[in-house]
Amino acid sequence: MRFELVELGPTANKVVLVGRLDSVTVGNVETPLTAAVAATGRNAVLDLTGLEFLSSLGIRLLLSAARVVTRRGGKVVLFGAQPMVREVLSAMALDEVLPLVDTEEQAVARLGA
Amino acid sequence: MLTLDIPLEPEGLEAAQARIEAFLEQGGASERVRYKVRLILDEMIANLQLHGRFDADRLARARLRWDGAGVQLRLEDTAAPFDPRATADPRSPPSLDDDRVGGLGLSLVRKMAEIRGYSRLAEGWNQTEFFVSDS
Repeated sequence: MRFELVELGPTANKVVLVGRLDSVTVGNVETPLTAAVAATGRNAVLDLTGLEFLSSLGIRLLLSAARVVTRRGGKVVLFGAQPMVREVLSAMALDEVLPLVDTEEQAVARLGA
Repeated sequence: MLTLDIPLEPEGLEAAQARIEAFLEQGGASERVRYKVRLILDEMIANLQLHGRFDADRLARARLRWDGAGVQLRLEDTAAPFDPRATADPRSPPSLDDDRVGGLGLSLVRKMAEIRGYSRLAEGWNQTEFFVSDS
């Protein structure tokens, strides 16, 4: 599991997740990923196109990071989930808590909505 | 059929997952089935690591049988008795306002697989039977 932080502009970051976010990997990325998503004063879009696997501990991490952002007045939008990752997010009703869209353009547009 | 021990630590779990993935792929199991089996293993083993109470050796093992339509997965462990069918789902879905996110793992397991049985074996093992379908 690895991730990359990309500045999209003055108010938003993109965090690109690649690999598996599960019980084996979550401990290695928990602190840096939360810091990246929750960078002060910024909204975040999470690019899930390279995320091959997501389990409940990964969901917990995404929720925890998003909680920090929203408490600071920001927004978090997910995009590009592969079919099974999308199914897991949907099964846990996470798509009702964190918006999930198909493309980066839609995600960025959603930040401004 | 594949039978293997599941080490209760990250590197061992990853190696076991890789063996299971290869076994299912060779048998022609779909990516969807392979994802669901990996998920059940990850959730159940994480649950054991985080919440399992062990009085003796910390052991777990799995047996998988792929029949072309689904996977029969038998998980066994030496933790205190625990019937995963007996736990309730969280009352409400996850929320950004609620720090209580416990119970997600087993809830996800129940959505991705059928739990067909649970037994406490005389030798002190939990035995749980799952069926993971390709639908």
